[in-house]
Amino acid sequence: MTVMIQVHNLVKYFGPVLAVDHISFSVQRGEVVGFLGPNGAGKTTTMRILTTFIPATSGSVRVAGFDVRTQSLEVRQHLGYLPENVPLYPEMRVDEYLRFRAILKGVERSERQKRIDYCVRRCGLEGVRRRAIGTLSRGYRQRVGLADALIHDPPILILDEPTAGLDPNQQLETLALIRELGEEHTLLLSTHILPEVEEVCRRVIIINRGRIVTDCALDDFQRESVIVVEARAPAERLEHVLRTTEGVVQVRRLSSDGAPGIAAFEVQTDDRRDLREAIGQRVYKEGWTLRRLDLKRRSLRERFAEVTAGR
Amino acid sequence: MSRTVEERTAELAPELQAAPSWTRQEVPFFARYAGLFGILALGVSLALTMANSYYEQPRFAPVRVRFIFGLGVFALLIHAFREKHLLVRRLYGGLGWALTLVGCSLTIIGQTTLWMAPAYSVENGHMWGLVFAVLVGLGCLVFGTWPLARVRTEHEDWLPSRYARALVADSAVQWAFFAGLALVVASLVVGYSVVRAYGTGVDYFAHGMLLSLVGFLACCAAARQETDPAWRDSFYYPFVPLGVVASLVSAAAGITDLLDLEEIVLPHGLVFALAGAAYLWSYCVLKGMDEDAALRIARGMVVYGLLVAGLMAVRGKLFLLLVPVAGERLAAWRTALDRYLGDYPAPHAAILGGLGLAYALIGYGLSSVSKFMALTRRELAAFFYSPIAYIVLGGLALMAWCSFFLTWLPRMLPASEFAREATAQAEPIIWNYFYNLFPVICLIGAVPMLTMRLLSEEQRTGTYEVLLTAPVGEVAVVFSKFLATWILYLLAWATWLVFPALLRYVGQEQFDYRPIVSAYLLLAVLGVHFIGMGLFFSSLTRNQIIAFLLTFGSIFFITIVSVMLWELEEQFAAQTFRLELVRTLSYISHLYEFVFGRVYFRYIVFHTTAGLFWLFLTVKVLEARKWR
Repeated sequence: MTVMIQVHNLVKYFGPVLAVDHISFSVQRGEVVGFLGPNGAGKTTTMRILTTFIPATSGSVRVAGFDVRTQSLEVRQHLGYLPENVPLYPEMRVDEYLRFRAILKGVERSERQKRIDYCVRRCGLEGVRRRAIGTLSRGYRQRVGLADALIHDPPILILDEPTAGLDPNQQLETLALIRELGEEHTLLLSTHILPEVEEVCRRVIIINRGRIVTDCALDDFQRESVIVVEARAPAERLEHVLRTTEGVVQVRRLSSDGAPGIAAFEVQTDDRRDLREAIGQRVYKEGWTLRRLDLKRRSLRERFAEVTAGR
Repeated sequence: MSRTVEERTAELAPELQAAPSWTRQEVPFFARYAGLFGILALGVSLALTMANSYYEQPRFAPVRVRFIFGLGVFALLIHAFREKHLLVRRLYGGLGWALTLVGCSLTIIGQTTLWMAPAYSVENGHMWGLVFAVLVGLGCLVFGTWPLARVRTEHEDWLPSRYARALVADSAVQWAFFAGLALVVASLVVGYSVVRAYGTGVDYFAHGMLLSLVGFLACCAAARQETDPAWRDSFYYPFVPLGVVASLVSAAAGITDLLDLEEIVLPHGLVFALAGAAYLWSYCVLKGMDEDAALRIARGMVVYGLLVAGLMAVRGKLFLLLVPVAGERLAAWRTALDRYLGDYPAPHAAILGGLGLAYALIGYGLSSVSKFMALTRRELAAFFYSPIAYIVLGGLALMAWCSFFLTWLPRMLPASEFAREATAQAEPIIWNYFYNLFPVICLIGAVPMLTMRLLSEEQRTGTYEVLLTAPVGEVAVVFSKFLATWILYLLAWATWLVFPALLRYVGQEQFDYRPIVSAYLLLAVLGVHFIGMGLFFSSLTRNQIIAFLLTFGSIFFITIVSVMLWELEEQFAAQTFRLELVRTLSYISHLYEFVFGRVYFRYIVFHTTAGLFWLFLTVKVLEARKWR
């Protein structure tokens, strides 16, 4: 495993405004990382620093083993970048544009046509090759931007909100493509659309007010679970029973839906164990009637809301 | 491994069969109205011409009829470039080829007759012209039908045997071949009968070349818009034989001076060379430089251009200019060389050699794979996609016409009301042409228009970010933008050459043309200075209008200083430094000196370094985003 992106204590001030506040993370080869956060959290700023477009105030960033400050050309050679609003030259034709970008990115002449054909096919641009970019719809422009990011076959792809402003069909298409790209490239992608991340990424970094608040594998999230218990029982005794069940870490009382004599609790277990059967057995032994017993997976949405709350 | 988006989507969510997203479909209303207007204008001009022929004296001024005709052609060309409907575009492409072929056969037959008539006979000239025209027409035919043959035989590389086999075996290729043959024969018949009917008294060259130009533009329009590869290729493949023939004719005629005609280099050779360059260049651009064929053509242009330039340097003894001795020794060498090389006019050699160099540069610019040249090409193309290039080219041509009108025209037209005095021009003719307000207006107006967009637009639309996250340095970005603008600037100034040429070849006026060279030298370095300045202001703001105003204001300020030079000279008489400063800045007085043939090296150095300084600042502005 080689480290493709390494960010260490990155700080960025815009004048007096602190945009990125000492963030550190690293991305291994082949990882697909979702970079999340509310608007203005510093996602785009971080990505722009990674792509050498703007410099950091302090901290070190290495991309593909090159320092963004001193080896900026090598860094740019090794990454493909899709900026937020996909700025393109409207007067150029798709083919022309990709050819121009291929030359800029140093694709050999003998390889060029093959790469262009490959990217055009991959991004589904066959039908619009000879169209001027200015006449394309938003979805096609996004694909052209993506084809451009891919054209020199970079090991790292950095995509800033690749699905913003697309209709649901197009989002689905783009996601499918990104998921495929994740098999060959190291991918860092920022977005607001959380189900999208769950679909594509294996790891998420949530950033809020310039700081990383969560950095973990998506599987960890999903395994982290709570059990909801609702039974016709005295609340205190039920709570006691739940607390004494082996493996229970925390019990939290929920407001029951107003039915008299019903107690509801949320149970957190250690090591993400599924204790539903054990709890069911104990409740049954006490002679209470169980109204509800289910395992609730915590969604990314909840986690996101939790860690970015207070904004 | 790679599947289409549709397949992937179908897999991911079967219920959502991915419809390709809707693309904006524009109905070209304006273009269609332009086309309608064009047809009407052509009809009106035809009707007026026919009406004129009924009277002894034309009732409608022929100049006005021609103007309406030209306007109609222009409107039709707009329609050809803008039309979205496939059938109409192909129709224009076919019409373009018909016009090109008629124009070519008219030019070739007429020109050959004209050249051969003194030495042999008119009939002989007709026959030879017809033979040449048949050869060129057949070349066009073969190249035009080759794309279809290629599609039918599924062979990429060009081999005559494959073409012949496709021609024998495939009915579609046969159909295309015979339709094309009919077109070629028809255009030959038209050209031949026109030349036979009107004799050698008509200027076939001008008419034929104009027809070919319109045809060329129509073909380009059709080829650019066409989506079917075979159709598209067949619209521009025949550019190859035309371009090669035109290029070879210009140099061959110039080098051998076989026919011993003074006018063979100017204007005929010059126009042929330009036409050849235009044909080959368009072929390369339309083909795409990643194709081997286009690359070969472009490299061929480099070799051919350098060859012609070298030959002309020897033939016209231009290389003696580089020998650092003067006086009698040089004269002695010259006479010694004359014995071997024969006498050849140095200006002709200079023009042909310059054209050769231009070929080499065009070929290099097309075939170069450097990032810098790629950026320059894109930038230059972007000018022509916006109206700016046309406004500047048209504006400079208009200014040239104004200058021409006010200085020369009164005496060129003896019948006009202005011509009360002498009909001969008084020297200094070129000085009169250049040393007035119009070049100054051109500089003040054109330079800010050319430069305002360069970096402001990139910053406004955000393409700046894409550009600077590609592996290219700031220096390459800035200098490529500068170079592209400078090339367009020089191209725009080339419109000023049309009117001296008119004076020489239509007005039959002999004059000292050499000040043109020094004037253009100054204009070129002024371009470096002012474009550098404009580029700098454009890098400061994302608002094009502010960039325009800053550049405009600065050049205007320098102009004011220039105009007030004489007054300031008195005022600063004692202060040498200030006086020198004002003198150095006052580019109008430099123009005065240069157009008189006094080339001051220090002013060249000043304007060049000033321009480089602005470019350096621009690079720093781009880099400054890294300091923030």
